[in-house]
Amino acid sequence: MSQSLAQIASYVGGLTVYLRNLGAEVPEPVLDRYDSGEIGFAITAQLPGSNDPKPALITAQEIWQPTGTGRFERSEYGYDLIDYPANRRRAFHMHDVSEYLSRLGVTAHEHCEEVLGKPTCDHYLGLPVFTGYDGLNALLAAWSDPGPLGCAGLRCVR
Amino acid sequence: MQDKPFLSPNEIASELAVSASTVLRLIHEQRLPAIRVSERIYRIPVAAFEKYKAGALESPSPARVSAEVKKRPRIGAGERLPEAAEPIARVRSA
Repeated sequence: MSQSLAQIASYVGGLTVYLRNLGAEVPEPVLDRYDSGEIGFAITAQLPGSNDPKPALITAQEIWQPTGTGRFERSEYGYDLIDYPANRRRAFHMHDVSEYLSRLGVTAHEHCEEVLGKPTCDHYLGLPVFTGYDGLNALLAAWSDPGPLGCAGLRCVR
Repeated sequence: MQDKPFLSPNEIASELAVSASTVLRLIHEQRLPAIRVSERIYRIPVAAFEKYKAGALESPSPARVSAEVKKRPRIGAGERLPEAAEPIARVRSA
């Protein structure tokens, strides 16, 4: 769904405050303009709780392409949780879409590491994540759950 | 309470001396920040509850739009692209 620049700026501000109100430390957000004509942002949130060996981090990145009517559509995303205290990672990605489509037949993929840096599969089949809020909610739910991430139950696509 | 990273709605209810349903209403009305783990399970980070009690919850405001034009970043930079493999559709039909 296409959005105006002002709508996307409000959306980015909303994502930031959503994380801050959950206790995360998040710098002031900026909506960037790129030399490709696209716009986008990258938010990094330091989550509350243990900082041993480092605090858990969530990053949300999105790129929006112009639709030619002064509006933009989200074309790529990456939502990542690196949970350093629990030594694990979870991520939802959609980027390099043509490569992923031609090589794996999928547009979205996921990452899941029960042990950080030791994935048993490089890419898992991913379902599209509709908004940044959905991506953040899924990562926050994983972060708040002390049990396994459940990587073994995902479908490896290499 | 400080040692525990998350609180349940019941624990919040006890802290605030209200019912659990009141806490759930606060969550559904987005007045109390909470992480929705599943349809019926919510966890409230202690840091979020402290902000709530202190009246320090923020209201959203639009992000600044940069006037500077930057080089387009690459999402997934450093990530190895997948090897060409059997497409999912072919795997499914096998």
